[in-house]
Amino acid sequence: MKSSQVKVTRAERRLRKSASRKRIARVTGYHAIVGFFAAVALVPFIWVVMSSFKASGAILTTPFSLPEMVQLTNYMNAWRQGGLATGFRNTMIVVPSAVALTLLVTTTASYAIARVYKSTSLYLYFTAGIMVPLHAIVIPVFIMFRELDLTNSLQGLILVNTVAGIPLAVLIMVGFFSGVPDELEEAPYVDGANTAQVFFHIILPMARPGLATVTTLTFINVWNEFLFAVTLNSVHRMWVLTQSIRALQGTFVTDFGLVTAGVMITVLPVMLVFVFLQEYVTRGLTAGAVKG
Amino acid sequence: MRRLRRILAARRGLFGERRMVALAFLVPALFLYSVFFVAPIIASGGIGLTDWRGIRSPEFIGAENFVQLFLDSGYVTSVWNTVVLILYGLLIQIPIALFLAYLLWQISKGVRVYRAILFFPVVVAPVAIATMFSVFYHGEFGPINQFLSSVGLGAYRQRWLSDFDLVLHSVIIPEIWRFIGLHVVILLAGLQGIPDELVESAVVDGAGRLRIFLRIILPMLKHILLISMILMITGSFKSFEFPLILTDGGPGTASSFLALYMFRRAFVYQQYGYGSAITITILLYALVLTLVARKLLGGERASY
Repeated sequence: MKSSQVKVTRAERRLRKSASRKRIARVTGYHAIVGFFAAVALVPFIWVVMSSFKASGAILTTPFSLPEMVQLTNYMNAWRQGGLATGFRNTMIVVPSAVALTLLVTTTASYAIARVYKSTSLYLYFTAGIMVPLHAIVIPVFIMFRELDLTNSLQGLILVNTVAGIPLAVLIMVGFFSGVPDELEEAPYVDGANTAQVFFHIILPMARPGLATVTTLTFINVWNEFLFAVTLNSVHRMWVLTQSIRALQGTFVTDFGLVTAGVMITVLPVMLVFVFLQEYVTRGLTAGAVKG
Repeated sequence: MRRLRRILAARRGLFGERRMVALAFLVPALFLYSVFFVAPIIASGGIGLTDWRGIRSPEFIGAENFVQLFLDSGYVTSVWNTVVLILYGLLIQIPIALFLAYLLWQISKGVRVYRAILFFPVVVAPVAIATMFSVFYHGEFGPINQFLSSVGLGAYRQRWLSDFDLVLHSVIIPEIWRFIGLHVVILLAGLQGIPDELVESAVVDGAGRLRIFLRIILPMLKHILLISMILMITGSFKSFEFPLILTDGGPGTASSFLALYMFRRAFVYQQYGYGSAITITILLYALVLTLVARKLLGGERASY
């Protein structure tokens, strides 16, 4: 074997060298193309970050220059005059509540479906909702909430966001629970634990990646949610962040500094979650696609 | 061992502790989902058969709303615009995503970074992105027109959001742009699932790059491509925030899409019956197109 490898002719060597050179050139080309599209994805955001630190006049006259000095006036104006403070506060109430509720009802239900009933029909019933666009339920939900006096309330938004998150969360959690081996559950029973204890102390900790996926996914979806907010909440006091941003754009049209600062306030928390929990975010947002 | 079996049997009986706890675990989600998700879908069908405006009580009118729909030029335009959006997805978005995923698949360094950057717009609130683009498109001061002027292409400045012929494309482009990364991630995962030996043996046989792509990679990717397409199609029927914020569907209904039109009818004009009829047609179109895509790509088990 070795001797045949040693006996490489000069011509062959030259050929290989040029082939590897070609390979390098090709891969560099790939980097250039992908890099270009990555820039296309990122540049609009970079422009927004830059503009949010500039005086509005400067954005109009020199839209592509770097900010001369970092000033937070735009952020303060968006917060106070733009009314983002209210939206931010309401979002900070709705998002954690909806995330916690979704986790609570879907982990318990998924455990029952995956490990106790082992029921395919229940699983299909819950996950069928993934295929239905939420627009399909917005009119009946509005009419229902109007009767129940749940419009213009944060409770209503928490409820509807929780419900909207159920199908995907069940899909993800059932996936995790059904992989747990039976023996792991049987041992604690012998020691006298009850089912709730087994669930909270044995099964739930094992499904930690699933919990992280559901949490980040629900966080992002509820944070970004607009359709139900705009249909159910007309009273200014109950607006969430996405509604405040829309109003900002309508009122302060050419005050680009203020508008871009508002956009940044909406984007930043999600960006942090994305940067630090990227794997869970991508997994969560493609879960419905790849498995559903 | 016998003790274990006895304990488990006691818990697992029809009314054993385990079953009872599981029932308690299941009921909250089952109740919420059935009452606020499943029931409303069914209710939509019923409401679509009524004339129901504002706070008046509903009046049964049979299929009249559906007849009305096809005489309503706003609705017909919205259907057409949604078709254009789907065509953009099919001919521009998914091909770009497939191309990028194919390149990323062959790159070894920096894939994670590229993937993250491309995916980033997917996680940002559509409302925020639409607001961003409303600034970009601004006729007088927007950076797009400013840029055109500064590089001497001032003649190409456009009224991006009020020009009747242009507006539809102006609204569609950010929407297409936003989701490229989602499809890249999905398709890249599909490519990574192709067994190496398959591609290697083709290389050994001396097959060219294009041939390998068309004959081996593309057929192996069919299922994943189908998933991307279904996602793109159903997503197109949800197009709402972009047209609402950028143009409110205007001028006239030039940039109106089905979901926005439904919203306007139901919540601006308070025609709940008519709005629900639109909803039903959206569900039907999405269903039919999904089935057609499935038929064409021949992947019956693709979505599992």
